[in-house]
Amino acid sequence: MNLLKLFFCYLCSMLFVIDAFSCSTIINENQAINRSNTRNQDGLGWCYSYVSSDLLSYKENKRISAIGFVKPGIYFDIAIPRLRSAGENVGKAIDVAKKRNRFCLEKDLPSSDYVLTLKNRVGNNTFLHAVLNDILSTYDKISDSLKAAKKQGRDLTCVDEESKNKIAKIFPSASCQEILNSVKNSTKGMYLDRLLTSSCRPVQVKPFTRKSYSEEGGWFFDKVTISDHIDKALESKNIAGLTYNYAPIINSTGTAMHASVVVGRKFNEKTRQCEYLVRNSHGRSCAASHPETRCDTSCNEDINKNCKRTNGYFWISERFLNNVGSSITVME
Amino acid sequence: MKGFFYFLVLISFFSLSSLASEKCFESKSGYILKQKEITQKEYVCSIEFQEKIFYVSKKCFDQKKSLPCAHGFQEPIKVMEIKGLLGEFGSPGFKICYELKGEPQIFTFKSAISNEVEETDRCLFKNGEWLEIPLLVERYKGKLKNLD
Repeated sequence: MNLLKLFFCYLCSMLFVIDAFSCSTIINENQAINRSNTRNQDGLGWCYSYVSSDLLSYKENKRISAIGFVKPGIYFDIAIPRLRSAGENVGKAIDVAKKRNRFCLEKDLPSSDYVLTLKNRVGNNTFLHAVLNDILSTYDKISDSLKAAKKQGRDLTCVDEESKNKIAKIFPSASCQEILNSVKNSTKGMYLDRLLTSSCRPVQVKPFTRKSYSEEGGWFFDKVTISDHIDKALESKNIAGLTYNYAPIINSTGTAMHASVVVGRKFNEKTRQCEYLVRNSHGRSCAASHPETRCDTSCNEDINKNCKRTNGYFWISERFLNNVGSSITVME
Repeated sequence: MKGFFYFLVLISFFSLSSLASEKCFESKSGYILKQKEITQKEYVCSIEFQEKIFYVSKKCFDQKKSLPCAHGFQEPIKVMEIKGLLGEFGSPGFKICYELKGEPQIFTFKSAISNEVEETDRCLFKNGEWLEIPLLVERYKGKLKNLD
């Protein structure tokens, strides 16, 4: 009987060693993506665009703005619920950005708190919508003025004062020439995007591809889980975009799809489980409260040192990650 | 007598260790308003809750029991139900702030604790009082309900 017990003890300790061995500590960070610069979706940002820009920023080691990772014409329309692009995901956001191939640096076009500032309260998504509609209405007026000037054989040097004031509410630095070019060179549907991207100097990025995965296989031995795909990315010194149900993370019921980035893993000696480090896009806040999650408070310079400050990252157990995760996107 | 002495040493140790992270300091803070950066000098205070450090305004540090500052220092009485709290758009912290009749704002300041310039977000109330949004998120853990 004692021999049997001894055998089980040996088996358990071996399994523990194997678990710990297959979960060596990996934290993939660089200057662009690290624990001191979490993004903030503020009041209306779209999580998929923040994750996509994090993936590209990491690859390029440049902080790339999340604005532009949505279908042309959509960024500003997110304030209008009926136009929300339901069913989109990280992969699609990357594909759209790739086609557009025009990226701005975060410092030139901040995507955290861009339009939602103290005086730009959106509230029930009405105020911003009204401001944007106001700007949109200047398109026809400026377009008419351009046509009239052309007929008269003269060049328009600036737009009328009323239009300029309306545009300045969101684009205070837009010059007369930029506004005129935005009207001349774009349709009304693309007008806001044009104003937006003309306010930065586009950066060149290296060619990239994206691959998306979900759980594969149905049997124990041939099953490839979400965490297996993440391991592969992390071991290749990459990071992975994760689409998952966020509701259970904060101990809430139901389904609320969200996306974040997995940047690392570590074996937890206490729980004897592999844990994954998730970079969220809610600023420094950490709402994770499920028992199989914990907020990260590590110091920037040392992942094992506690600085007692939440940094917008959280740890999630492998078991729970596979439970809530639905797909992984990797940029190569 | 010896026991009482040890008790005093213990008490002073715990009060000193909690005081170490709870203090006010003058800091240069900055925020974006209509895409322009505005900087100002203001007093920022640190507090400790659930073994984490958060920041609040001087007025909230001094008036922990009166609303709206009390939102950051007292256990929420009831569950907060917010339509679209979770999901693809915006962040829960901003939505909690709106629910408390505040105005969220992303801001930077130099912390006297970490000695680094930190970027965070705060919930601004009338008369200039404010609480760091991560503190509100921590306070409302387990007290949030997502309405579809």
